[in-house]
Parts: sequence; structure tokens; C-alpha cells
Amino acid sequence: MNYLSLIVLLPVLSFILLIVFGKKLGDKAAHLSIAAVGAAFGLSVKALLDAMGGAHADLSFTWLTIGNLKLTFGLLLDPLAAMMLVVVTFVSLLVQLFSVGYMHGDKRYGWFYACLSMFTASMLLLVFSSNFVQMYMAWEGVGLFSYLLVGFWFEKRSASDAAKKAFMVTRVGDLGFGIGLIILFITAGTLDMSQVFAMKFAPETASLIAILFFFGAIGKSAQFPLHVWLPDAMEGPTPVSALIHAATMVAAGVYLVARAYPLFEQGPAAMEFVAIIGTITAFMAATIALTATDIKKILAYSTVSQLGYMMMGLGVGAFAAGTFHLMNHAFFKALLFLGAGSVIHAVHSQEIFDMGGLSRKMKITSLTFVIGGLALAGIPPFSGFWSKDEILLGAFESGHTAIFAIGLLTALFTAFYTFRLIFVVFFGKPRGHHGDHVHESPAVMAVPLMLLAALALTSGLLGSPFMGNAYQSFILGGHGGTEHHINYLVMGLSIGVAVLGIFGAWLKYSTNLLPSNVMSKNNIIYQLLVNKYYIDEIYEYTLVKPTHAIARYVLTFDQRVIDGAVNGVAWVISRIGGGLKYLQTGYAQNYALVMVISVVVLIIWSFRAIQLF
Amino acid sequence: MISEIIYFSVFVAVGLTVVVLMLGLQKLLQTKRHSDAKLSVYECGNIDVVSDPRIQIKMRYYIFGLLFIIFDVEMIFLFPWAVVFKSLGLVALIEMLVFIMILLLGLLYAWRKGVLKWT
Amino acid sequence: MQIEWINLMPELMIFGVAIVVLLGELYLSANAKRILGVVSLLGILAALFSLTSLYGVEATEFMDMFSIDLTATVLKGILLATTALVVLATLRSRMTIGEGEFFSMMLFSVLGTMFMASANDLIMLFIALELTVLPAYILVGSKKTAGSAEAALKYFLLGLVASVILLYGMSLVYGLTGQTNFTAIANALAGQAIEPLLLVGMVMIVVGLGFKVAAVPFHFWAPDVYEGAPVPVASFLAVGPKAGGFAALIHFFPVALAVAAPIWAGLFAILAVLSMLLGNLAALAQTQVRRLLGYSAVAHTGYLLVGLAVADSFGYTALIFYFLVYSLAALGSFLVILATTERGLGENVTDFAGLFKRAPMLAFAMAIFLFSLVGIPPFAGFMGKVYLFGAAVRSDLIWLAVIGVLNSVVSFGYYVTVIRQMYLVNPTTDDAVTVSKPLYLSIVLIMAAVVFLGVYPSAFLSIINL
Repeated sequence: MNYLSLIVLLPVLSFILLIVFGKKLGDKAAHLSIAAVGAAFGLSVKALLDAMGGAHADLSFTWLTIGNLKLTFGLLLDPLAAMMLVVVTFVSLLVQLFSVGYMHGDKRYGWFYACLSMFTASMLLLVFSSNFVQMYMAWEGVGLFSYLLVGFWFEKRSASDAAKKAFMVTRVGDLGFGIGLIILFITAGTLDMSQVFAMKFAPETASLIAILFFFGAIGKSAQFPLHVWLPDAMEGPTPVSALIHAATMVAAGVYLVARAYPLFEQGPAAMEFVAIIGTITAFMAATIALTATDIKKILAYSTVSQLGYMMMGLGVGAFAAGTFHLMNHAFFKALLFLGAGSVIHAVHSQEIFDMGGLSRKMKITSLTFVIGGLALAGIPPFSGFWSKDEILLGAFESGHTAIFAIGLLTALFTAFYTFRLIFVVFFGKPRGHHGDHVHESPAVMAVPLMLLAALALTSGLLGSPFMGNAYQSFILGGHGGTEHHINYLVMGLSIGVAVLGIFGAWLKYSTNLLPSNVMSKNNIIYQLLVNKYYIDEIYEYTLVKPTHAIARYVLTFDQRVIDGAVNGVAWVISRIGGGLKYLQTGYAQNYALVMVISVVVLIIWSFRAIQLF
Repeated sequence: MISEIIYFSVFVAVGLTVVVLMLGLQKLLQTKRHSDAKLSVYECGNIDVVSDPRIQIKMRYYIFGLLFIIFDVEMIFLFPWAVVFKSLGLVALIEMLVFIMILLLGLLYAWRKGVLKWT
Repeated sequence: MQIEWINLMPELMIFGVAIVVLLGELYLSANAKRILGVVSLLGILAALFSLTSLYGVEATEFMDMFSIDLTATVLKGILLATTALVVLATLRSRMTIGEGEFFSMMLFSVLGTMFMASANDLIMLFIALELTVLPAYILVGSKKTAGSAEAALKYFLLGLVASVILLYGMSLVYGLTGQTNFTAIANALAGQAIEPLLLVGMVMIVVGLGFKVAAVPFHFWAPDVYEGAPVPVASFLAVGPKAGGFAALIHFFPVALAVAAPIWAGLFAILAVLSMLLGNLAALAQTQVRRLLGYSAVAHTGYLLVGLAVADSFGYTALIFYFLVYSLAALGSFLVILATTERGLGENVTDFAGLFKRAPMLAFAMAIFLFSLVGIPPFAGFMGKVYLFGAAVRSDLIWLAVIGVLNSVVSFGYYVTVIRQMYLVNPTTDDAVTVSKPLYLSIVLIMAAVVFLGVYPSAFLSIINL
């Protein structure tokens, strides 16, 4: 199973080569990076096939031994990791292909691919981790490279601000994760996953650790109340959004919960917490998406909402459904982001009301985008339907009626805002001034769209009853599968709200049948939504401003008192250093004399040691 | 014991005789022609001895001196080796040849670098 | 007396290559001499390769004068690897003397150090030591400037004094025991009261070897030599002779003078503290980079002596690991200076102003090396200090560890001035500083090693069985 380490090492190698030779390679930088991730994808598929064949690898080697503390590093391959590997490498591959066209001519082309490579490597390491320390390190690596990628166009003030915000906000969650790790280490005495999962914890302990872990997930997966960074992070290049903010990094939080699921299962309180946070996030983000007008922001809020959905699924105990939605979402949301990138590439605007009627000019983009939209809205047989239905079913059957109801409502909103976007952008009359120069994107951008569209169409079927719920039995291989059945009531409701949402969007945005005062812009709810529940403002006044004030105060204290003390010490030390210069007289005979004198002194000292005098 | 003392005394007597003979003959046979140069202090390689002590001496003296010392020291190693040479056998011969070759390489180095030319 | 020549293969190879390179100097044209560096490099790599077959071998040769064990083999490995990096880095350097002379002197010095690492006898130790330092004197003086000559002369004169003291100490030990072999000395001393004269001999040996590793108060040559010697030579001195000194220290004292262990451990603790304090404090006042690194070398000798003050196997292995880590970072920073001075930059700290803009890679490498010297994670220096001071704490020498850590904090003060100049100060010109390919490769390799050992120290520690 040694090829497993290659999956991580290939992108690292590509990163190193790009760092060293990036400038010389120029446009060829992309080839190197794509070749590496392509090979990693091939190996990941092999890993998936091996995992389906029942292989279960846990390779580890000792990394550090300090006294009793023994840290190991290793790769863990199980169905969940195998599934995630394929998703990450596949989306990364397509995004890198797409970027060949999208980033063409950028002056930091090589650096872009270097960052993408290392981001992919960190993400793969995260997925592969066999212990929590390694996972935490990869987790931070993912954060670092996403910071670099979001702030890729750092000349733009908003981009560098967004990168900083993303980094800072996720750090808040990481703090929880870190504390959780420490507590876990103190209680369990090990951070090795297979050992931890084999242990029994008291429900309170398990809940505490799991909730602390979940804080990390809240930050990374942009859950309420730390979701604020994700929409801002749309300042990065669009392929980056597709990779980081659709398929991989934001999914890392969900993955963490899924990975540590044996721990969560032992803490009922933690499960409830996950479910509630997930539900709040799903609902709130979906409502904000209703009013957003920036194509990438809509998709960003949609992502937040769908991540909430996954958390909801995991929280109510539908493990398979949550991870299944993770996979499906990765494909169709990457598709939507890349589609949006293709549109932005053509129109040079992100405002949806600057677009319109693009379906005539951009056939492939619009067709694939509609497929992605149908998957997101949850229309069978597109992939989103199967996993969303499973999550709702899980909520319904576990007796979380309120969560089930909100979930349905969220599904309605989801279908509505998705098709609002589609009707406005691709149908109707052209708006704005993009005029005639709109054209379909080049093949290198179109092919990834088509591949992802094919997956958005089919990946859900893997978990459908038609294929005997193949996905569920595969992923649950390690957890002991549950009896599966179809609940036609839930399925019917799910399809019903999706169709209703699409119909509503059609009425409002594609026809003039509705009077214009329906959903007017003057009511309180609209203002609340368009201002994103004022959460950014709340943070601004409760956290940012007071922090600045305290910081200013601390700064003065620091300059006057601390710096004074430090400078004083430094002054004294450098005086001593200056004085020592005079020891170095430059005369060899002086040096020899010092040597001889020290011989005598040292002899006297050693005589004292044996009590000679 | 006695024979050894006689043996030793004979050596001493012959030695002394030779010395006395040499010096005495020289005293008898020499012609006395005094000059300043003959009375001046003489040190190897340096004619003008009584002068500023910080006088420059040709580097060649030192290099020749060093080369001489190397081979002088080589002699010191060769004597004990020669005494036990028979019992050490072929390996010792080869080792000593290697040793001499290394020293010769030093001489070769000095030669090729042109330090043996006096001017 | 049967000699297993295979056990001496690395030494024989280095010796052979040194002779060949010296002959090449005599008979090749100026152009053809360029190849001598490559020949030396290949020779060192071949010796390194043959050394790997000795891993795990325990043997003695030359009637117990020469011993092969894990410590010696690992030290030789470190020495050969770092020397290979020096040779690689200087392949395209302008030489102050003929290529053949430069490389053969270096190889002879390395040969001496290898014998020091394996010496199991006072006579062998002394001869090996002289073989190590004599070529070093020549190399230091190889630049025809007053500074170079002054450095060489001081190094030579003080080195003679140290050698004399060392030899006097050895003769006292021999006089008391009637033995020159380390184990035989230990046997002769075992079970007897420590005689005062033995202590006199011991102190003299400490002083003699302390000079070679530049421990305070026998360090005076170090700043002058690091500053005055040609830069390629200075980079070699940062690794070569020092390795020999430490190899001799960890071979002689624990074996031959085991009876007096608490006393010499105390001596080394004193020297360690003095070296750390004086090295770091004096470095603070320096404005010349190489002098600064010279004092930093003294300070690092102090850290390394902590391993001897601990006086157990844990301390020695920590010492060896830290030595590797230190020599990589020190060598790396000297090579960066080599790269800049070859392009005409000065050697004052202020001459590094804005290096980040003129040669981002060099500045980045230098920053990593300096961070490693301070001991900031995730670079190798951090792990080295963890193990070294960890060894001190383990042996209840907490005060020594505390002094060491405090000194590391102080050392940050002067390393950071260099980093500050490189990154935060604007350069006077924007001319790019170009680096020759072999030198660049060497720096990159060292950088990779510094990061790798910082992240995964077990890779090396498992070799020395820690």
C-alpha cells in the first residue's frame, strides 16, 4: 500500500518544483501541476477500488519521541477517506484544468499553481491522517494555503482583507479544536485515531471534546455564527472558490465531524449541538441567498446552507446521508462555481442583473449550470436529490420534527434562489452592456464543466435505491450498516417543495404574472436578509471595535512599560557585549597568557573537586 | 667488564689523539693573515649579523630548511624500521615505501612550484 | 597483525583523492584544474558510500589504536556530507590558491578529522589532530592579505600553544598509567584514588581540545579566523576541525577518564556556560557578519558542551545531533555570505540591506539558517536544542538548561538584526545578486536538510539509536 503516500507526495513535489522553477516554466507550470494531481487522482481511484475490495490500511511511522510522548505520523485508508480522496483529487484536477484558461496571462501563474498544489497536498494529508495531531497540522496547512489563494490578487484591498478575515475567523474555531485535542490527549493519552475510537468515554467527556472539535468545524465549514468569512472569500479567483469553497476546505469541517464520528456518537449532547447549528446555518444562509445579487455570493451562501445541511444530517445520526451529500455537493457546487467563473470570464461582471439571456451565447455553460442547479434544488434524478432526501429522512425518522420542517423550508428556498439565479442570468433579455462580445469559454474550461455535469447527474444514483444504496453500504462498511427503506411521504414532500420553489422563481423572474409589489424591497424582512442578519455589523460593534480600543490601550502600555523594560535589558546586555570587545585585544601573546592562566584556574578548581584543599 | 673498559678507553684515546693532532697540525701549519672579515661574527646564511634585528632574510632559507628537516626526520623513522625490518616482512617494506613516496611528493610539489630555484 | 582494509576504506579513499588532487595541481593546465573540484566531490561521495557499509560495524585496527564504532561512523558521515556540500558550493568559486591546493588541503584536514573520530590512542589522537589543523592553518592564510595572514599566524601560534598543553597533559596521563591506549588507561586507573597529577593532565587535555572547538576562554582565534580567512575556508572551518574536536572529546573522556567523570563533567559545564555567555554577548556588539558568526560559533560550542557536561549516552547523542544541525545551519549561512561576497557585496550587517529584494532565495535561505541557529521551530535547530537541553534536564542539570535557553533568547537579538536588514531595509541598488549553480544547489540542499531535520528528526535520530 505504499502508493498511498505518493498521493500526498506528488502534489508536494509539484509544489517544490514550481517554487524553484516556477518563473522559468511560465505557462508550462500548469502542466506540471496538472500532471501531479492527475497522477494523484489515478492513485486515489486505485485506493478507492482497494477500499471497496475491503482494504483497510493504517500505515504509520514514529515521527518524534520525546520521553514518554510518542508522536506518530501515518496514513489511514478507510471507505470515508477513500471517497474523500477521489473527490478532492478529482475536483482539484478539474479546477486546475479550468484555471489554465481562466488564469491565462496572470503574472503570478506559477505561484498560483504552486499554491493550488500545496493546498491539494494539505487537504489530502488532512483526509489521510491517522492521528489528530497530523490532522490538525494539515488543517492549519489548508488554512494557510487558502489564505494565500483567497488573497491571490493581494493588490486588491478587498481581496487581502477577505483573506485576512477568512484566516482570523477560522482561527477562532481552530482554537476550540486545539483545546479539544489537548483535552483528548489528557483523557485518552493518545491522539491516534484507531486507538481513540476504540475507547469508551463518559458521555460528558465525549460531548465536551466533540463540541470543541466541532468549533473547528464551525470555523472551517463556515457554520453559524462563524460563517461570515466565506462570502467575503469570494474575492479570490473563481476556480479557487470552486476548489476551496465548494468541494474541499469547507468540507473539511464536515469531514472532521464524520471522521471523529465514533467520538460524537458517544456524546448525545454534541450530536444535538451539531444538528442545531447545522439547521440554523442551513436556514439562515438560504434566506440570505434569496436576496443576494452577486453570482458568487449567492453560490457562497448556498454553500454555507448546504454545509449546514450536511451537519444537520450528521447531527441527527444520518452519517451516510451527511457524507453522501458532502460528495454530491462537492461535484455539483464545483460545477456551479466553475460555471459562474465561465460566466464572469465572459461578462466581466459578477452582478446577476447585469446578465441575462446568456443561454443563447453560452450553450455549454448554461446547460451544465442548469444541471448543477437541478442537482442543488433537489430534483430527481439529479444527485442532490438523493442525499438531501436521505438527510431529511434521517431527521424525520430520528424524531427531530422541527429540524425536519426547517429542512423542508430550506429546500424550498434553495430551489427558489437557485432558479432565480438561473432565470435571471441565462434566460430573458440581455441586460447591462456586455453586448455581443459574450462568447462560449474555450474547451479547456468547457470540458471540466461537462465532466462535472455528468457527475452531478449520476453521482446521486450511487446512493439511490435503484443501485441498492451502494454508497451507504460502502461507507458504513466500518460502522455496521442500517436497514434501509424508502419513505414515500418524505420523498414526495422533498420533491414537492423543490418543484414549488422552481415554479415560484419562474413566476417571479421569468414571467410578468406576479404583481411587482410581491416581495417588494421595502419591508423589514428584505432589509434583514439583504444585510445578512446584520451579523457582520454585530461583530463590528461587539468584537472588532472594542478589540481595537483595547489594542490601542495595550499598545500604549506596551510602548511605555514593556518596551521600556525590554529596551533597558537590551541596553544593559549590549553594554556588556560592547565591554567584552576589550577582551579581544588582538595580541596573540595576551591570548596565550589567558589560556595558561585558565589552565591554572581550572586545575585549582578540579583540585577543589577532590577536596585537595 | 674489564675488557669493555679497555675497549672504551682505546676509543677515547684515539678520539682525543685525532682531535689534538688535527688542531695541533693546523696551528703549526697555518699562515696568519688577519682581516676584518675573518674576525667578524658569522652565522649560517647571513653575513651582516650585527645590525637592525628586524632584517629581512630570504624566504628560500626557510623553505630549504624545512625540506631538509622533513628528510632529516624521515631518517629518524628509517633507523628503527631498519633495525626490525627483517621481522616485519613485506608489509613493512611497502608501508615504508608509501611513507617515502608521500615525502617525495612533498619534494616534487616544492620542485614543481619552483621553490628550488635560488634566484 | 592483520588489518581489515575494508574498515579503513573511507580514509584510504580520501587519502587517495587528496594525493591525486595535489598531483593534478602540479601537472594540469589552469583550465583543466577546474575538474579537480569535481574529482574531490566524487571522491568524498565514494568515501561516504563506502562508509555506509561500516554502519553498525564495531572493530579496532592498528593494534587498538584505531576503533570503529557507531559514534565514529556517524560523525564521519556528518563530516563527509558537510564537506561534500562545501566542495560543491565552492566548485565555481574564485580560489585564492590553486584549486588542487585548496581541495587537497581540505581533504587532508578531513582525513585528520576522520582519524580523530576513530582515535583510540593518545598518540593516534595527537597525530590526527595535527593532521587536521595544519592544513587548516595553511588554508586560513591562503589569501594574500594582511587580515588573512594575521588570522593564520594567530591561529597557528595559539594552536601551537594549545598543542603543547595538550601534549603535556597526555604525557602526564601516560606517566601515571604507563599506557597510551584509551581502554588501557581506563583499566590502569580503575579502582584507584584520583591522583592530583591526573587532574593536571586531564585539565590540560581539556584545554588543548577546548581550543580546537573554540570554547571560552580558548576561543580567541575564532572571531579573527572566521573573519580573516577566505570565505570558502571559513565555511569549511565551521564544520571540519570542530567535528574532530568534539569527536575526540566524546571519545577520550568517557572512555579513558571514566573514573573522573564528575570532575570533567563539571569542567565542561563551566566551559559551556562561559562559552554561551561570552559568545552570545560579544556577538551582540558585532557589525561584521562573519565576526558575528564567529562569536555565534563560540556560543554554539557552549551549547554543544552541555552534551558533555551531561556525561551520559543521551547527552552524547544529543550532542552529535546538535552538531549536525548546527554545522548545517552555520555552513549554510557561510555559503550565503560566500554567494554575496562573490558578487562584490560587503560583509557588514548593513551590506545585507534589502537582500530580500535583490536575491529573494538567498535572503530566504539565510533567514531559515539563522532561525535554525536561534532554535525556532520548525527548523532543525529547535529540535537539536530540545534534545540537548532535554538531556541536561534529564540529568538534573536544570540550571544549565535554563542558562542555555536564556542564551538562545539573547542570541535572537543579533541574528534578527541580519534578518531585519535583509527584509525590512531598502537596498541601495536593485541589482539582482546572481548565484552560481553549484553554490545555489548546495544552499538549497542544506535548506532542505534543515527543514527536514526540524520536521522529522527521527530520520537521523534513529541512525544514532536515540
